[in-house]
Amino acid sequence: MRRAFDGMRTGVVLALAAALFVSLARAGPQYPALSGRVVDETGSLSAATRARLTAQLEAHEQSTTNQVVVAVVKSLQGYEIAEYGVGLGRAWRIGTKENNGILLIVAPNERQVRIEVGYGHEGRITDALASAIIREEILPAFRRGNLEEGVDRGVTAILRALEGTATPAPAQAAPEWAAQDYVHLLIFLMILAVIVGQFWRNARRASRGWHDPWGRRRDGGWPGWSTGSGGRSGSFGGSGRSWSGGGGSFGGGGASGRW
Amino acid sequence: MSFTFKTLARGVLVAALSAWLAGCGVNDIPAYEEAAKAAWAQVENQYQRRADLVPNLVETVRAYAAHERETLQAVVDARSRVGQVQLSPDQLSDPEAFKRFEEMQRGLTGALSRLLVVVEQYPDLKANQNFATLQAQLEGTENRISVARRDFIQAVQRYNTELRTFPGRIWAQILYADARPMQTFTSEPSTAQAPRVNFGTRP
Repeated sequence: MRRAFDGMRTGVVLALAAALFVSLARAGPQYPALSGRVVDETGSLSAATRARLTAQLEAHEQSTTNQVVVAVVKSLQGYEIAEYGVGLGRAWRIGTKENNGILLIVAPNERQVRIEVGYGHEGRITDALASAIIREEILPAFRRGNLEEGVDRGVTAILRALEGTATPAPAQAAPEWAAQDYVHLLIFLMILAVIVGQFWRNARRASRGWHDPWGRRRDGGWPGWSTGSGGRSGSFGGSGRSWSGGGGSFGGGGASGRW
Repeated sequence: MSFTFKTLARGVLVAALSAWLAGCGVNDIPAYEEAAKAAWAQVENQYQRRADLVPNLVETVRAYAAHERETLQAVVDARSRVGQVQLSPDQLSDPEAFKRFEEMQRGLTGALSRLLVVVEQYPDLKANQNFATLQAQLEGTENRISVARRDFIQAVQRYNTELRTFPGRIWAQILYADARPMQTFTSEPSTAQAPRVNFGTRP
């Protein structure tokens, strides 16, 4: 018995190790941490610019719920910027459930830039518009070597295009029950019904001791009854101090440019 | 009285058991199947979007490069062939139909990339605002296609794996005898393989 258990444990450990290995082997690019609305891995933006952009983006989110993020990344790690951008947007979960996230990604070392548009804004910031913003607002400044100005003008143009797109804030109601919760409740009630029913039947028979649900007579104490707590994992995006993505997703909308 | 209660209790137990099973993956196969079908709908959607762009693109190019007749005709032909091949979600497990669909789409991809190479020789066309817009849309669409294809590959992988591994394998035999592994794209068309559509962003 003991031996069988040990064997099983070894098996489980091996399986876990294999799963970890596979997931590592298949991992895509390593994305920087989402440290705020302006992520600057290369130190290309001054502290003042970062603060100003952050304030601008925060104000925009307050009034429209759109999450717009600027990311200046060190390296695209050999990926196409379009592929990297979708992955980054999904990894950071920028945007609310309305998928209203926008990323401005700048890769100074690869001299590439991209506006990644979440599903929800593909109609507003079309590929053509994103491309025009890159060509007319961002690239001229980048070609002059002025990264800050390009980012600044790009953000301004994006926010201008998004003006008046306020989506109603999602009601902060109590978290709704998932179907699974109902299933669990149902099971609980059913089991309760069976047990209560057994007691009722036993009482009717006026037998001493009690019967387990299969009707066998038991004399001992009540067997331990453990209830799974089944904790719910809720996400509380944006309610804490630190800011995070709201669960938006991306489908490859947007445009890229090189300089 | 006692008998009816016993039946009732047994019924309740069976119901509870089946509900409990719902938490152990008995629903995974249909759930993953639906997810893969939804991912497929997205793939088709994006291919359709590309096909919709073609007439406009062809017209714009023709206005500037009328004597590239062959290249333009190739695009038009590939576009009409693509229109004839539909692949409903139920056909996803049919290797022949899937291959045909992919071949047609690849034909259009090739014809479009040849057109865009030709276009490089026409500076007037490249300076045209309408063309720049179309090119940006085409690039965005190619990019969306590759994202949709990647998502589809993943969804199918999950579904097929569920069908072939424990415990999905057991459920498939007991409950979903008609579930078949789905076809998926053979090679992931990374944006590197897709037509290099370089738009007016070149210095």
